[in-house]
Amino acid sequence: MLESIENFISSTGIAKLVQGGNWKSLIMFLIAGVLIYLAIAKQFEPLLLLPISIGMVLTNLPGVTLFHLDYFIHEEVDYGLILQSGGLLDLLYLGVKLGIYPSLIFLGIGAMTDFTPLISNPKSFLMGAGAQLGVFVAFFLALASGVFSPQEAAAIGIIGGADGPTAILVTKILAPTLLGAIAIAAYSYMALIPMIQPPFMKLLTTNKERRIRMSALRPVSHLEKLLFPIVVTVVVGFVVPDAVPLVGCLMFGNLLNVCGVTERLSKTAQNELINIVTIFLGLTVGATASADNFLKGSTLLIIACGLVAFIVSTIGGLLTAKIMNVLSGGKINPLIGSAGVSAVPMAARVSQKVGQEYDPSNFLLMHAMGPNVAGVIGSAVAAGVFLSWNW
Amino acid sequence: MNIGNYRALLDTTAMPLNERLLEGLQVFVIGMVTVFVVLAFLWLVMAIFRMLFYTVPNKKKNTENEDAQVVKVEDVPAVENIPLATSPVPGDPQLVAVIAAAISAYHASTGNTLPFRVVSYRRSAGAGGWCGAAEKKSN
Repeated sequence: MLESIENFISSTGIAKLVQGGNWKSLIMFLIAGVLIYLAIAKQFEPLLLLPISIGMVLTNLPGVTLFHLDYFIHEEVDYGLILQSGGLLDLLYLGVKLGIYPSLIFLGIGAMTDFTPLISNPKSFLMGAGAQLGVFVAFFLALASGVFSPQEAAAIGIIGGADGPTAILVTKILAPTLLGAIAIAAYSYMALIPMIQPPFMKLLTTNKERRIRMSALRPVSHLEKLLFPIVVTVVVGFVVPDAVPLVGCLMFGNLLNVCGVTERLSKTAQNELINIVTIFLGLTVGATASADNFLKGSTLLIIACGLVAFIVSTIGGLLTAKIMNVLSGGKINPLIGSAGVSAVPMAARVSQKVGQEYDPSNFLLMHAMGPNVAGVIGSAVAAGVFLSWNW
Repeated sequence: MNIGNYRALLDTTAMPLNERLLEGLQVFVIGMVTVFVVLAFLWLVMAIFRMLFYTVPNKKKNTENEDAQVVKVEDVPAVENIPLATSPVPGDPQLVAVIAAAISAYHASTGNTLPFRVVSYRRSAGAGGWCGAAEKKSN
């Protein structure tokens, strides 16, 4: 009888919590609590931060074995073992490991995104390219720190792309043990864009530049809308084949939307599909943030590098827009350059908001959407460069 | 294999600092150039698309079109000649009859020729009868 009670007590989470090392779980609960607060009370990227934080809670419950990161970090993953003895989150994590979730999320994003401003003003592509500067600067800094391997530094750098699915795809291939920290950093900074960007936007532009009014965007023909996704897929595929899982799905989703004959598929991609995948992705990415894996000095360094990446990407986009403004004879408002960091449509909204602080009747939103969606393509290309590099 | 072993595989310390920085610089330059080249090429393609598939609206032509439309207005048949079946809102005959009767009653009532007068009215379901009918029709 007494033995049974002892066995029961030793099997409880409370008993396991007081055993060596498990106290760290309490810190993880605290971090998850902060993320849940930010997601619900402050509405900071709630669709991702809430599942991620709950995934963190589930994986850090003492004695609960829903997820085993060590199943997935071998070069040869034993899928039989995962199916035989894996927990719920192990099975769901297969979608991350096999690169399925990020691509499906891009499919939904493509169906939801209107590329018309970019087609109408294709010069915006350059601002989307300039805003990838932070990706490579953060990569260089992380590598120079000596703490991270080149692969890990690449995964950290991609935070500057301000694109969650891209960051997750690159990290799960190059540095799976950092997935939790990188995903949390990426989504947190994306939520903080309205606070991160404006000081640099104001610092790097003059009062006159911020008041520039841009001419109205031209209408785009249906044929251009149809050809755009096909051409982008083919061009990116020829130059950076490793970016095709992302760009191909993004453009396929967009084609479903613009072709006009697949409304049901487009709606599914925009709603049910992306919502289901978001739940699975968030939970499993959060599950990788176990105490042993997350509570390290390197996590703080990742968060610091991520912030640098976001700031430098913002600066890169702004400077590109400033140069284009000079070359165009003052026709481009440099504020739209900061929208070149992906984070659709948050970054474009920030451009609009800052612009209206100086001229309430100036509407930059649609102009900023061009660089914004170009940034999505740009960050996928940058990810393709990292993935195809012979490390 | 545990996580520690996996990290050892990545070999974070074996490469000397100068080699790391050199490789980092290579990735930096090649990466930025690749991103710019790909996106600049897409800009070029989109510019070609504009030339091929987009015609700039001609203001003069538009003005002529507007003139033509004005002339066409004169050719539009009188209201009484438009068959009911081709009216823009395909009709429920009962609804049309009710609307016509209401209009007729309104006009007639102004001359006090009807044997009744409206002394009160009340809204039903938070909307006027006309709005309700319109909503019902649009659904």
